[in-house]
Amino acid sequence: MLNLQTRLQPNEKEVASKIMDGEAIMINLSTGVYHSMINVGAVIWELIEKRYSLEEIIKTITEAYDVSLAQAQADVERLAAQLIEEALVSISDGGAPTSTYQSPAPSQRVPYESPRLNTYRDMNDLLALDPPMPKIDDVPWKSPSGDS
Amino acid sequence: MPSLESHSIDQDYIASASLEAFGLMQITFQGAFENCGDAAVESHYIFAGLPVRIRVVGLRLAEYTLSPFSHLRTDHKNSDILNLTIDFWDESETGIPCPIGLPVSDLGLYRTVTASSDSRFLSDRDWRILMLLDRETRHAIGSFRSLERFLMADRARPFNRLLGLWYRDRGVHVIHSAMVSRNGNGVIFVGKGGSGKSTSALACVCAGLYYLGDDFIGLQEQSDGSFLGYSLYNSSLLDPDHLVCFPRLVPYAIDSGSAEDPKSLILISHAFPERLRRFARIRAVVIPCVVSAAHPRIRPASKGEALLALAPSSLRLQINPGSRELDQLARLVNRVPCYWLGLGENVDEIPQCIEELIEGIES
Repeated sequence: MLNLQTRLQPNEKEVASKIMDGEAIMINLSTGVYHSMINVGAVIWELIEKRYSLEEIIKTITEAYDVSLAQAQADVERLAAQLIEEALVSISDGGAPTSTYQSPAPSQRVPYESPRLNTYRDMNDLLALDPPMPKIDDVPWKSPSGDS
Repeated sequence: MPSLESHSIDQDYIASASLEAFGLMQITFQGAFENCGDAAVESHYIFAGLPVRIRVVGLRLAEYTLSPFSHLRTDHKNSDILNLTIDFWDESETGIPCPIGLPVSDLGLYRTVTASSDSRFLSDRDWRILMLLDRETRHAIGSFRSLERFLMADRARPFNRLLGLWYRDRGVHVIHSAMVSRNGNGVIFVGKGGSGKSTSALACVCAGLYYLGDDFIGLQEQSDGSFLGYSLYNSSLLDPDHLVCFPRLVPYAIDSGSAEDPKSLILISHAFPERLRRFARIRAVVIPCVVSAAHPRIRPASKGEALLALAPSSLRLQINPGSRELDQLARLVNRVPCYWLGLGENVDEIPQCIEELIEGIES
């Protein structure tokens, strides 16, 4: 059950993610389903990576963007539920953010758009046809000359 | 996706018997190689700058499996410094069966890949084929039951799973992209299936650019932060509807003759042998997309858009991918300019867009 004190964390066992140029890309390596979020959504993902609570995320969003508290809260709660449903995040045990978010424009609030999670399932069929690879560790090998 | 626990029986078997199994395969292959005279073929290659030897017993099997690598062949033979040996025989042509029990056709139909508990041995098999890779001695060995069951995908990209691991062990990561080049400057085409990667690469090679692949490329990060793209295969698989876009390639199409395997195999080494390259430096990332327009058009793409087009399908090809592999792809798209290529209606105009792009990079 989510509340405003809930902290989420990326599902690092199954999900690889990257933020580039204001776009967050998240790939579930087990299912092949991948997602993207831009602008506000990418900021929220970054705040989740830093273990901000939902309340802290909402506060950061309302400080950075021209949006009401009620709208921001509704959008953050909706998005959090979607991220959990897609197994992109889980609830964190941590008690405080791991680092601080630096707003790119701290002196002014920029225009706001509700965050949207874009989901792509076109890899599913390919995964069904290809066998999964087992877990493989690194194996030291000798060079052809016999030296390690 | 099946969990590893569902393969526990296979893994226990492989863990305890892998060395013995590999030894059995070696003895069987050696006997086939020494006793089958003219049906034994030995050839040498350079894969991502590293010397490789492939020995095949069975002339038709040799033709099927060696053709996609022909552009990587070398006359320089030095068995003392081989980085990989692949030994492979045709059970049907040689009359020599695989000494390891394979699944019967009604069971174990689907391909499985398993590893020994120490990760030293990898097994790739279904009811037609068994390949084992010993990562420590850099030796792959296998047998094929019957060429009647050889699929076009097998002919286009032989040994792809085991080679993918061998490449990874050497710092080369297989990515899902096509690649062409000019003067050593390479452009990779990225995106999901059907986005136009093959169309773009084949249009370019037909127009005179160099070809490195249409689906899989080996990516290697250099110490200065640049990236090389290695050609892995000179093959292309095309649907019949797609092939008609390239009349110059139609005479070279190899068909399976089966409605269940409809794609045609094109070996660029047959069509344009002088237009193949082993590697090139990656200087741009291009994302093809189908648009309703008369002419192709290039416009800048964001780094995020390029990573979204490249990463999901590329990571699927890699062995146990994770954040480290995604970070490397991010460094690639960060390093070079990225573009959208709206394909338009006329594929013949695509090469000019790409040549102008490369010219801009070279100047």
